[in-house]
Amino acid sequence: MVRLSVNGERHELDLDPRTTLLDALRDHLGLTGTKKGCDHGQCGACTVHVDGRRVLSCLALAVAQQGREIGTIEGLARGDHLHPMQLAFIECDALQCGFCTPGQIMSAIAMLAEVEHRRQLDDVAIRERMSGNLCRCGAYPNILAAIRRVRT
Amino acid sequence: MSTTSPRIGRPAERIEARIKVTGQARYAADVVLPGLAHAAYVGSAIACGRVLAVDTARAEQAGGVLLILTHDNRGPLGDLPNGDGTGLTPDPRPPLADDRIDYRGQIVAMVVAESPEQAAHAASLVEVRYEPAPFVVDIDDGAGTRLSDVPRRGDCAAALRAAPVTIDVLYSTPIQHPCPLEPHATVAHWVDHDLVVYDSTQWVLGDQAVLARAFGLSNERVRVLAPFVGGSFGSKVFTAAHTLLAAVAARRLERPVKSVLRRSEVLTTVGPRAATRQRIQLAAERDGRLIALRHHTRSHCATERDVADRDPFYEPTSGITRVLYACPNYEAVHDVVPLHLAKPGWMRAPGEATGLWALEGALDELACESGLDPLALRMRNHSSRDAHTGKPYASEHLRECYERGAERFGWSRREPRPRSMRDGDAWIGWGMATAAHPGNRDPASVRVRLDRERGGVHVTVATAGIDLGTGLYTALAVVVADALDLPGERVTVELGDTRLPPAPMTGGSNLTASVAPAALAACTRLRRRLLAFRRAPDESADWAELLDRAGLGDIEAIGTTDARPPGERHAHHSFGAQFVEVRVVPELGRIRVTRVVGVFDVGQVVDATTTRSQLLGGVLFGVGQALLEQQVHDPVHALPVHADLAGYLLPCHADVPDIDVEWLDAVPDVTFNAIGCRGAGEIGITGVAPAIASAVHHAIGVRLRDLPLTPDRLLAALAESPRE
Repeated sequence: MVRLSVNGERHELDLDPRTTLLDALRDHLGLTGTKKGCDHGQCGACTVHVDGRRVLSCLALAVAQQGREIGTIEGLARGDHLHPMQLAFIECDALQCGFCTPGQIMSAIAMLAEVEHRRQLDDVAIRERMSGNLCRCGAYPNILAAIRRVRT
Repeated sequence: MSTTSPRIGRPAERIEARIKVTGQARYAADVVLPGLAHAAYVGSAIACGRVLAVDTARAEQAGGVLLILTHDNRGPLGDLPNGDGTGLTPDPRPPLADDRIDYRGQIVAMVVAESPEQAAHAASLVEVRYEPAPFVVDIDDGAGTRLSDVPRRGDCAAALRAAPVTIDVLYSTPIQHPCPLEPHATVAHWVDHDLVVYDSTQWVLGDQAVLARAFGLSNERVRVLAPFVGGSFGSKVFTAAHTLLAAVAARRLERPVKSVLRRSEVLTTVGPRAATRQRIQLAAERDGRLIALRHHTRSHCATERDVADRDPFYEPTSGITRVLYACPNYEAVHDVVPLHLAKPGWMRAPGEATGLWALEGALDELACESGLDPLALRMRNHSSRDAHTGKPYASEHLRECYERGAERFGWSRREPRPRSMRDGDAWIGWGMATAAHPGNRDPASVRVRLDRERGGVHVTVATAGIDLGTGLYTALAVVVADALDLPGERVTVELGDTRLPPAPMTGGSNLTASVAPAALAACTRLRRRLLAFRRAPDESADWAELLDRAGLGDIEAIGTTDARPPGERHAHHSFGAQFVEVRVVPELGRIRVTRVVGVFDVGQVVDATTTRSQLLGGVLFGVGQALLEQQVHDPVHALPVHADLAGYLLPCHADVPDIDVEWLDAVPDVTFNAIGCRGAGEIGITGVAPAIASAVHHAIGVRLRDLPLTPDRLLAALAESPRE
């Protein structure tokens, strides 16, 4: 049995040891908001939080996440109250097809938490730090605008 | 409808944004059904030849394996409907039809197991013996076949001989891949002998037609759903092998089957934009006026059989070059080169993104040769009619795009001489190009239903058309809320389901121009029926009250958009002007795009928010086309060298320049449809690559004619060019 704590809820899962964290979330816990874009850690669509840090869940084995707190896109809102980053994404139209969006949002939230002085993050620094999250629709300018809105 | 409508053209909030940012939007691969089994594929290890034997013994012994399909046991499938316009597959043969291999990666076996891990493991145990045959995977190694359709006007050869100024240049584009972030995915499920498919597609009705034919069912017994699709860019029009095979396996197993392509399978088996080699010959007067344009394209296609069937899919480069500029003599010749690769397909602005790369590049060369400003050269050759058919554009504002774009960019301050602007170790260059995309519109129908609801009414708008991230949900909500004068939160939009009123595939920037007028027509019908219950003509319309008076709990109407009649008097086309600034560091071969300004005429914009996002995304697609994207195939193994996202480079956050997009207001194309809108999904890409290359030339005086403009190419060109 693999014990996972996801969005504050504890789960015991009977998993094939090869199961990635991504597949455990999607196929075993029904948390399909986290997306599989490449399964190789190259697109960022599967970004989740593990103990508050951004992690590519397609490159993490589920069995190795026991004892850690996993956060996914489904756990951000408090009831009807969206996380400020989710709101900023809506307000800035920082998405088109929406497939990379959960990963962008998870990455952006953890990225802001990585820096001590958020206000010093300029556009170049934000772009660099977000470059692991690909968006084929090209919503990048609006994603940057959304992150700037939350940063300040 | 005029631009005085309160909401048309204003920025709305993307109505499906909330479910997308909370992870609640269900894409095909997110569908979970009881008893779901998972598929994995074995791709051919040769590029051409035959499968001699598929040994599945070891794979069948692996844990969790439920079914292995090969061409020996796939079972019968009916003919596919290629050619009649109802649906499309990449191969006229159904998948696993026989032992013939046309490209490396072609599916030779499907493994279905209880879990994705078990399916993937078992697929690795399938052993295939082949009889390989010689193959060709490089367009420059293949022999071309000339297509019989040669659009021409005037006498190009004579004009080219006699002209005072001529340009004769060769431009190329590599194989590029639409590469949507969502891999192609299908969940197939049989319910009481009827088929239900959740698919990542641009065309639910095309899927339905293909699947119905393949399984010998009437169309209404096949339901296809695609409420959310994670991007497509042309690559999800065809009903692909993994979709058909998922349905075969689901029927055999009597369980739903999920079939999701791996990223490497997307990049190997889903048709890319074909490679092109384009020779542009221009003849001009000394003042820049074009006398002749000859456009000779070689582009790759699938197998020789494809050519023999007279249905090669080729990159339609000359569609735009024949219409764009006033030029009395024109000829376009197209050769197709069969390669042993997955059949090419559409990719955002097919033909325009490639054809304009060559034509706009050659025009920049003509401007330099003639000592003319590149913008002045475009103005001089401007055509207010389709230059090939002679039909006047119903609504055409390209000159305003040029003028407005030049002003926003500061083009008048451009010093024409290359190597005229420097900042530290970088040379700065400015370039421009024309952007263009035809107005497309197809038959469509939309149902609008008004329901009595507490405190008023609720409207549901429904059509089978698909929002690929393009903004259709929002555009329909805007049109209907405006037409019925209701707040946006009282409108729900349902899309992507074969049970909804029919709509065309999402392609060619056609969908808003097709379904938005149909939605408006439905609203007009509803209004007329309900307004009959007013007590006086000046009584304000309260839909709930009128429904009550009519004794109805709900009311619905269908609106339609008709096919375009043959012999239309006018042509309909979108245009734009794109201006680019680059910084080039010659010692490193590095090109950075720092600024892009685009001004477009796309007719009446329906929703400003999603239109702006579409245009921004188009520009970034162009940056990828220009600087990053190419698929090269290993000549020994016939595999793409770049079959993942670390090799096939998409633009990332750090590649984004400062982008300024704008469109002309109050330019509805009123004879195109009742709203006057044309599409905006593709035009954004079309002028970017040539504008970047022209800016690079302006920066350092080196002309690059092969995409993408990688550092090695720039360094090689610098080494060959005389230093100034």
